[in-house]
Amino acid sequence: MDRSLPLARLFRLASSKAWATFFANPLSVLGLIIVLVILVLSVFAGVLTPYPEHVGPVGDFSAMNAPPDGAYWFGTDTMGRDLLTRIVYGYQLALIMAAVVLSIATPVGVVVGLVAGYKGGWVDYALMRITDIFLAVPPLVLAMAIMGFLQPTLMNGMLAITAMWWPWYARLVYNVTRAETQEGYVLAAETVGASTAHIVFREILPNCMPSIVTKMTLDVGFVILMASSLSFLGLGVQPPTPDLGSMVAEGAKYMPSSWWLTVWPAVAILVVVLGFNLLGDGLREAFEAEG
Amino acid sequence: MIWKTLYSRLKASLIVMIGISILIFAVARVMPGDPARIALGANASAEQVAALRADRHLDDPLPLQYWEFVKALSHGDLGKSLFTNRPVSTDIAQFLPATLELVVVSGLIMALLGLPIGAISAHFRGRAIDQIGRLVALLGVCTPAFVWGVILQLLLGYFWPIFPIQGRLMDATPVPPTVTGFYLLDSLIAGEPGTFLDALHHLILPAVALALGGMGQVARLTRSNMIEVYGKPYVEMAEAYGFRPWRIVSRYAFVPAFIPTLTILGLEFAALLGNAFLVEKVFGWPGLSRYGVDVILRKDLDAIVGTVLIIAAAFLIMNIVVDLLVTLINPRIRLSSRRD
Amino acid sequence: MTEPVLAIRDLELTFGRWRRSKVLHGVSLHVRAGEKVALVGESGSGKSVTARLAMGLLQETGNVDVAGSIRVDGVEAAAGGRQIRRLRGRRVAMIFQDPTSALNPAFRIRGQFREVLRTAEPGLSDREADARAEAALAEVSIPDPARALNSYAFQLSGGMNQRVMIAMALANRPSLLIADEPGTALDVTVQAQTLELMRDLAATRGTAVLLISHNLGVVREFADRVYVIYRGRIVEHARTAQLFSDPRHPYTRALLAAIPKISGGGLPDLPERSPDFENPRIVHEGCAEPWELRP
Repeated sequence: MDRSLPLARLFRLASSKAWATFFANPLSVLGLIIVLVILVLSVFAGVLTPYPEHVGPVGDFSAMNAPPDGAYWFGTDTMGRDLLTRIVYGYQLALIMAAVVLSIATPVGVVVGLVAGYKGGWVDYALMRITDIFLAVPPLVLAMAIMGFLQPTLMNGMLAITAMWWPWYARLVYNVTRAETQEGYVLAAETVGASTAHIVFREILPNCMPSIVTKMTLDVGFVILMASSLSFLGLGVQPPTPDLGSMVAEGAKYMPSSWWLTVWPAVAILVVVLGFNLLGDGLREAFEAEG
Repeated sequence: MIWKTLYSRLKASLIVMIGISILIFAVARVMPGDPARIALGANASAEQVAALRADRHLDDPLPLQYWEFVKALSHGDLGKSLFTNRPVSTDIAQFLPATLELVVVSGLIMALLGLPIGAISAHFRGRAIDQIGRLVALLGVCTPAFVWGVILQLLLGYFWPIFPIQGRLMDATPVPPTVTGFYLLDSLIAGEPGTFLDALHHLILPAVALALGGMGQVARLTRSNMIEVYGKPYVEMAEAYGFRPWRIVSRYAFVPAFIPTLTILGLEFAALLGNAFLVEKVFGWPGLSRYGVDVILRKDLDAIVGTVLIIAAAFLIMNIVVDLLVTLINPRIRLSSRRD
Repeated sequence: MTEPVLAIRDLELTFGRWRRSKVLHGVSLHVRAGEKVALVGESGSGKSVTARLAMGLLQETGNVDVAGSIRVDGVEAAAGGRQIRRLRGRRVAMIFQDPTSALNPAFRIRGQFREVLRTAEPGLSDREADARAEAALAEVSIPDPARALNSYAFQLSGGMNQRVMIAMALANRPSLLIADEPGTALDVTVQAQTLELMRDLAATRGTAVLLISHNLGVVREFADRVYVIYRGRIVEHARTAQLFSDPRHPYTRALLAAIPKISGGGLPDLPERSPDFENPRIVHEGCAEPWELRP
């Protein structure tokens, strides 16, 4: 049984055959490359984008709605703003949103799942019924409804997505915890009188980590997908902040003549979700190979 | 067994439904902003706002408001939309059929594409056909429905215009008399094949755009379940007894793998209700979504609560139906009752 | 002399495309019409893969490299392919270790039996197929064939499923039946009954049987001739009586010594490995492979 801290365990993977499995699959490597490129672009957006000043409401009025060419690789929008620049900043925003949403939703869901799964009884019943209530509405509809009562801002968008995201982690961790609670090592820890906190966080949680890490990786993509869906409906981030979803919605008004306005942001969403999916699948394979 | 499943599912769903109503009700009332003020606009007088608040019980304590709400709900009264000034139930009854028609057709496309793609991928596992199948499934999963909508519109609506891009019917086509609210059915009932074809023509692009995400999930799951089944002795037995490969893919390996897939198929089907909002916006589909987005943007409390409740109810009903289907289709569960 | 129903000659098998591991190192064996031959060895000795190669099943998974020759009913099967596929279920059939998991849990016996019969006669009507299935089930002493046909495998006992499996295997009158550890999953008395049934039916129809087993007790009761396989090589080949009265290969002796004396069945404690086990193949008098007889 592996009792080491989750992070230590994850780092040790680097020396195990998990990495070999990961790098043997070209798709996993492709996912890693996509994710790394997008991360680098987002972090250094100010330096790497050709027209960082186009993040605001105005761009180059001499080149409005220009098709892709040498100066503007992806073309410009109706305000003469460079589409490539805005997509990169859209990535930056999307990644920040995903990071915030997951760094709140994951701990909340994990604690709920651990407690319900380990305690059992009425705690289990009450917590999991509450979880079921959240899972019983299509996620997008719930997020929309919450946005309905709030002002459409970045902060509120993240809040709405977080509110509907934690139950999935509660469900996942709950299932693993239920199974692990029956295992010998938990009984052993109980017998020697370990505290509940010790058992839950030092014994059970490390065993949930591979599933949690895999799900978080996949979910970066899916949170971005959800956030862009909300802003596509006009219920998320508002202009002029560059957001991939609202860029698609905005561009759709000028189809088909200015196709680049829609196509590039749409492809950008696809690429980032695909990248995190491939990476997540690769990690899952690697964890499974490690056993 | 069926009745037992149905009973326990209905009971659980009722608890969940009550929970959802409390949740959405609480969210609606706790949020900042005065819905009466928003509904009446900035020019309304304080008296008008106060009158509307009194009319809608907005000044009562929350539990009392919830009680009024449940009482009304038990009569099928979802309140009144501040935006259309009609009962919310009337509004929903008008817009829901278009959404359901889209979702049902889309669900069919999802299953009819996803299951065979997954099965064929599993049959040719590790080979080129499998890689193509997996890629198609992955692209489905990774692309939001509205992106599919926009891409399909651009390719098949504008550049190669073989499909209409907006609405349910051509302007020139008369709307068939309402029986079910599904144009496909209503046109057949009215005996108007032209209208039927026109409705179908309009439905294909949005339905496909909506279906592709779920299709990807279904294909991935079918593939992994079938690969597991291919390792079972009964598939080797089928091969050893000379069953034709095609019969094994389509029947002797497919059906055992389909039983666990069905649950996810049902969940994906229900999830279409949520994503329908995105596709309806792209294609100007006059369904519940346009109404939903409108009332959300206008902070129309009763209408938002009503729309969410109806969608949650539809979602729960679909889940119950799936559970019953799983019970029916899995001989182990179906027969367990007869033995005891 | 007629050609044997099954003739395997110098069969070699290697698994894996990159990390290759050789599993069979030149296995030769034959089974003549009406004969009952056993292939005995520990798990991992290569006996089951030999059976699956003879059926052409393993070749379909890809990822295997086969050398040598397998002739089944006059058809070359070493490379797999359409010809051997068409023989399966008609000219050559197989009985599996655990009958309950070898029958499809999602379909009634009826549907599976129809499919088996239709591999030989594609146009068979449902009524005709059901009548034949009932007759076949009656032959294996199933008390209520109509009810068995309407059942799912998980509703029947292991012994019943074993009978169903035998009935299906013999339904199209194959010339070769391969039985892979039949009934090992069942309890001993049921196992003995079904083996007896299989032997009787095979005898009345002149079906040749290749029995794959690790159980020397069963082999002694059942087989006319025995091949002993050790780590992918045939180490001894003899008539059953010869083998049990005069085991000559060190590995065979170790195997026989390991049988618990009282119960007389099973192979509970596998012999320790010894360099002697790698000794060359020993062939008893009159047991040469057919092609070795020719001048």
